Amino acid sequence: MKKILNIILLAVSAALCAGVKLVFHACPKTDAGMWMHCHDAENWVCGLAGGMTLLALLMLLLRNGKLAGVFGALTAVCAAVTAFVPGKIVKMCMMDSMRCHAAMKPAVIVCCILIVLLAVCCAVMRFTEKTEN
Amino acid sequence: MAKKISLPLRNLTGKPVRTAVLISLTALLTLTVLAGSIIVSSLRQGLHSLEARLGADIMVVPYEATTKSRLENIVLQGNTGYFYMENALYDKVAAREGVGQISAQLYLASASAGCCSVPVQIIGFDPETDFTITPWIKKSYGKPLADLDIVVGNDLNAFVGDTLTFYGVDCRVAAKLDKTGTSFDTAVFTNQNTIKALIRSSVDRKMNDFQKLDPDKVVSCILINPADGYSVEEVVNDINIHVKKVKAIRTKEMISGISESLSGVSDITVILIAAVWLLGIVILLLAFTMSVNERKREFAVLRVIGSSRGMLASVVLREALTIGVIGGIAGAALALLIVLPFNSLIETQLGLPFLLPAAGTLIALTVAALLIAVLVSALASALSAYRISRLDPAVILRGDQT
Repeated sequence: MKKILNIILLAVSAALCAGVKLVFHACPKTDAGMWMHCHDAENWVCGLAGGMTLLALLMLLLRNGKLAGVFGALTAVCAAVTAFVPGKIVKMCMMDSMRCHAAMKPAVIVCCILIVLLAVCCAVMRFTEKTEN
Repeated sequence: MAKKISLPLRNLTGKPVRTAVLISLTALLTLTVLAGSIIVSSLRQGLHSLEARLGADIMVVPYEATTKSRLENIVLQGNTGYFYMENALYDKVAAREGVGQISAQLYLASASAGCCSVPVQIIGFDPETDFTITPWIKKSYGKPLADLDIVVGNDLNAFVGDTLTFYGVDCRVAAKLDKTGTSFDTAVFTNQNTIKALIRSSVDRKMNDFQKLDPDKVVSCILINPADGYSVEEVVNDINIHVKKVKAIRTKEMISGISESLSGVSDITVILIAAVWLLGIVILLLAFTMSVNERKREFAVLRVIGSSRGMLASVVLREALTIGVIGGIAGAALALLIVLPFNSLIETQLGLPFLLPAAGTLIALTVAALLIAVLVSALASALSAYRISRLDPAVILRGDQT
């Protein structure tokens, strides 16, 4: 069960990392060829999601339950922070109807909520597992 | 009693794949009905909001504005743009018989202010005569708007106290309007003095098509409500016949296109929901029947060791209810997780007024969808429960049944 949850966590983190660049990306360049603030938010989310993917992969490979549990907790904290990147930590565009508000922000928040839930479950399971000798 | 509760649960956990499939199916049914209902309800709410926000029965615009279908794009679709007519035409229209409330508005599209913004529609109204915008601005801002004060639509990321610059003129955000689900959510409202200052600045900066425009001598549109005893039709015809260079339009005619699109989308959504439900109910019915057929021997043994007919039927019904509750909750959560955060995206994709219903309505819709899921699961299993309560254990265990 914990392995399945860990694989789902890895998949959701990877989906967030790739999705924010390819599917639910921020607003495109302006006609003047300029990137808007939301592009920074997109890059931050992509970077943080990459980190979460790495942490989830390490959790999957690690045999030490305590260390894996710590990584799980780190992933949860990282996802909680990532949820606040679009709009709160990094400024976004002017209208709620623009792509960064309508597509990227909600998709990032939904993915981050999923990651937090999965990471907490994985962390608790791994932290409480008995060490195999 | 404890046995009665635990047996259905044990049956469900004993066949995890079958249980997962049935729960997924119920979740899908709940998802379609709840997401569909919220979308249809939001579209209807959006149309009501648009009707209420237009506020006037008649709109009079320069004749050119009606020829390139620009008008509906600007008024209803949220596209930016402007058109002007001489002030004298306002006086001519106001003098017509049957004209009751009358007020003029001035339009201006802001230039894109570099980073992170798109042009917004600026609407200037006359606070002394206005009867369309003031009533709903009052809900957010009780005082009259001072010069260079603006009220922003709900979709603009500007907040009270912020400064927005249009054509080099700094304007203070005095209030932010409630969400309307219409193009007004991306507009900026201000008084006549402010919009005239902005138009003047745009002309000075050569950022306006009308190079020799005097904002004191023009209006963009005139909004009218007929006087008592006169019909909208009479006033519209009178203006169109007697005042040249303008066109009077019934606002209801303008939104008839939107009503038709909305009705089409609603119909398709309802048909899709019905199709998914019909399919789902048939699959659930088959699944429960097959599951009970597979377990006839098991039920026969239970019957032999003393379970009553009612107890057997109750086991099947409890299994179905458990599936209904779990699937219903999962489906409802998924529907809310899709529709609520992505409502702006749905609105953009549909291109129709879209206003989420109030929290009370959302809760009612969710509860209704959950109840439907539980009820359908119970009904789908009722036939199997009835058949299992009728079985003859001796025949089943001898293996004589067909």
